[in-house]
Amino acid sequence: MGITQIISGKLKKRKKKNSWLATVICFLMAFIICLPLLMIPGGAFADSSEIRQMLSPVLGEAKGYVDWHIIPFYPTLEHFYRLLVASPAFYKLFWNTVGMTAAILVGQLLVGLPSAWAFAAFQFRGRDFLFGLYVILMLLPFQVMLLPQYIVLQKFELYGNPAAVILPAVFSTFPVFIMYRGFTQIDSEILEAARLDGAGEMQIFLRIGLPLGQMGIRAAMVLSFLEYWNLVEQPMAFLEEQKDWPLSLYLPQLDIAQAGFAFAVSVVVLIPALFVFALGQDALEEGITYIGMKE
Amino acid sequence: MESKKKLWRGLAAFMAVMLIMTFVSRMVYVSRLPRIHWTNPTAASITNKLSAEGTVEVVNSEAITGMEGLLVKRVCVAAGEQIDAGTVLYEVDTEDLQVQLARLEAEEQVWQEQVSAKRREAATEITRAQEDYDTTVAELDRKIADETRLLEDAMEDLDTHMFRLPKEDAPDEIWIAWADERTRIDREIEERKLAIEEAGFEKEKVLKEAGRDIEDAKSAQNEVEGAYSSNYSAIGQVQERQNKIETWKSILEDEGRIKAEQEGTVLEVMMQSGVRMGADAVMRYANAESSRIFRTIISQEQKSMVHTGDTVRISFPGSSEEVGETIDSIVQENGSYTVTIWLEPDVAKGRTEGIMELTSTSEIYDFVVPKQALHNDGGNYVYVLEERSGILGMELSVRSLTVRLLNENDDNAAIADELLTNDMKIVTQSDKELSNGMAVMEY
Repeated sequence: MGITQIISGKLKKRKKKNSWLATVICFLMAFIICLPLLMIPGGAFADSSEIRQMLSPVLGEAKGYVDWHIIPFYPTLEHFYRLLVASPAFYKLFWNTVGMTAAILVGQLLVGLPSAWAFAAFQFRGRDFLFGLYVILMLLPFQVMLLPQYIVLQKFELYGNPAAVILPAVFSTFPVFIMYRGFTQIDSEILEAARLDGAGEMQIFLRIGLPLGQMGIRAAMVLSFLEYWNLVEQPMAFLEEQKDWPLSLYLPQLDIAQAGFAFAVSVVVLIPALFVFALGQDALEEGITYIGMKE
Repeated sequence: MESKKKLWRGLAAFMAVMLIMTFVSRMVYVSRLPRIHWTNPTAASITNKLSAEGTVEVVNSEAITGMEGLLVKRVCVAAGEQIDAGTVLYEVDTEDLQVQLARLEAEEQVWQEQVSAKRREAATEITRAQEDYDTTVAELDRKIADETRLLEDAMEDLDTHMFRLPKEDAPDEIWIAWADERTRIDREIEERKLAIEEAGFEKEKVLKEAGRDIEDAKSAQNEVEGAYSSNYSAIGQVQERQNKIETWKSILEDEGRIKAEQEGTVLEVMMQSGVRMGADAVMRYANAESSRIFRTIISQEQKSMVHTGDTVRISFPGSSEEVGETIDSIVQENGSYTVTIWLEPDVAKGRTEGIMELTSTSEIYDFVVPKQALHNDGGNYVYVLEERSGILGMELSVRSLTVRLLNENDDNAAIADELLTNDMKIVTQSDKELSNGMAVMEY
């Protein structure tokens, strides 16, 4: 055995050892990150008195740390029964959220798709400046846009109306950015060939753009869904009446005495998001890679 | 691709379940909502009708005392019944009466015999003492007479002896004999005087002793008599027994019937058949001259409606008689009030119960609501129906409003509060217990 082979063998062993260590660290971190998620089912099925006992250090009723039971000692369906059978307010807000999210996604498709296609398929004067403006708007946090949005909504007499949440979201630049990235993956020669074959711009958009850019569209929709399904700040700022609230504002209304109920709400609220995530997981992964792409 | 379809189906199923449960939870929610009736407060007056049950009491009623020791066979009258003189009140068991009468007469006879024996014994003692006294006095008188006669003889002997005085020159022997005789006679006279004096002393002593014996005998006799004359209870017992015997005999002659002595109204019957009577009253009745009063007790709240001098209507259960009378006095007793009304002599004859009624109409109040709208939990409050915006949209809810109670009757209540208005919707009825802020539904 030559010296080169010995060194190569040792390097392989070290690499294998490092890989194993990295895996352990990753699993540990993943566990810590997922811990709140693991606590939710436990809390949802736990008896109210057990939850209070577990949270007593947080409430200042006992010393030490919270001793959370992932599997409750006294499991009960009491909170789910109350939530699903005796809480019409929950359903009202659930359907508000469904409607609001659906309206936003449809709106984003109607508004964002043409914009993204225009940025991706056409070269026009001021395109780069306009796109740069989109990116800047995308980067601005909501808190910065709160006052201008409020003024605009007041001017249009939309404050307090669900449209005050839906319309700003419809005109959000983030999905345009994602969809634009998806459309840029289409080879320009394909578009040129279609034009040479006599296809109109609408035909090219519908027949080539949408099918080939669907991963970007789906990624944008999944990301938008996850964002607007859990929308908190905009409804809180722009909606006055409780009947217009989304579900995300329901949880803050529940106090510590209803902690078990709140966990049950969290479980039910998670279900649509999990479905959407599972349905768009592949597109989402690709969409995330689009975000990291260079122009 | 297949897994995507499953996911879509799963999502669709989830949404379908949520849709169904939306209806279910709505139905459950609605089924739990209290259903209410409401009304607006109106300006109206409160008509108060005071009704209080009371008793008709007879002033100076008389008691009929029972025939102590006799067995009641039948009670012939009841409370409230009008009776005349001679009305049979009750009957006693005549067989039992005969037995009791025989026992009583036997007791009387024994007692009479005992008294006679004691009197005879006392009289014999007196006679005996008097005889002893007379005998002793006679003996002593005879003795004194004998001694007196002997003294007189001695005195004659002395006189005779003095005539026999010897001459001065008589021999000494004669003088000595005469002197001796004189001495003897003087001694005899002294002895007789002494005997008479002793006999006198003896007589005096004997007289005293004999007199004491007589006095003792008389005292013994007096004691026998005094035992019955100075002992009032004994006299009472004897007289009572004798009276009882007389009364029972008359009852027996009347076949055990006890009759009323005068007309009146039976107020109360405290006897029953088959029970032996005691010395207590067995009936109370009012005669024609007895006055009657109506008494009733009213509460603190009712007191505000009535005043002394107010005219009230009094009716009597079981009778169409109804009179208007004036309240004579209202006296506070242990947190309540006793209303007293003197009735006219011919009113409420034979009645023991009455109902006092008074109707009064108040001033017009701004806010009058049905009585059932008013709640009390330490303070008075009503539930006001309001619309509120909540998660479920506009819904009806109730808010408690504390009010002051100005007046009330069985149907309505006059309330007041700065926040009250006539267009407020006041909840009057609910099929579930309400609480502040509770969502409700209208019928």
